[in-house]
Amino acid sequence: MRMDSIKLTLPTKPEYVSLARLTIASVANNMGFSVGDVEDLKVAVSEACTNALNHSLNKSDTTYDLTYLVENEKLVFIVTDKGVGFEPEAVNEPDLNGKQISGFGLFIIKSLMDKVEIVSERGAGTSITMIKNLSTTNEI
Amino acid sequence: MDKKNIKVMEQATLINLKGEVDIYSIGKFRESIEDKIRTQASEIILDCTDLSYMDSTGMGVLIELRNKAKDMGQKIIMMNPRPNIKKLLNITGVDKIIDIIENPINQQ
Repeated sequence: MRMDSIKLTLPTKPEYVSLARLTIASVANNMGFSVGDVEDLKVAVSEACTNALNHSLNKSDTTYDLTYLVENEKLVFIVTDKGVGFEPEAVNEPDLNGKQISGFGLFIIKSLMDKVEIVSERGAGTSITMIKNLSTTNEI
Repeated sequence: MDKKNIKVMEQATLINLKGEVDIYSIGKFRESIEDKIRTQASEIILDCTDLSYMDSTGMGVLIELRNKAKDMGQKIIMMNPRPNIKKLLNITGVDKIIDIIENPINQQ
């Protein structure tokens, strides 16, 4: 079974989030994901990176890790930060007409990916594992 | 027609959005729309033809500015968003509070 692992360590600076999008697009294209799925993967990785940055409280001297596990029928990717952590079950669904706009990122990730696992510890950091299955249909 | 009349008659103002809106470019994105909300235009049209990417950071600002514009009696409209952006607007329900229009003349 094919399983390649790619690891990136990114500074917690906003300008490098686009690098996560570029790399996931390249990996996913090579694997044969459809154009639409590649776009979804770009959004999911960006949301997780944005989350990592927000939880790092704008400290620019820290880093976070991005791991891609390329498997036969799926792409597993993990974003791990050393930020403040949070309680995933305490995140409310976004409310468009109110002031509750945060929480959108996780909501979007869960909508776009096939499986999402969040492990977070207050003061220690957060790890978001996302899985996208390689679709067998020829959807573009 | 003097300048004053032109301003009063201004119905819509157009903003061309280009490239990607994420946590890095969000400040510039917010500024460009906020500037237009300060004008007297009743409609602020965001031309998204050349907007290749937007995530929740952009959605958050859009919702916030839509609420601000609403208070001012103005409306924010998105024109020609690409399928990937349209999908996110739909998932988040933003397409229910911000009008989306397709302008064939502008589509390539």
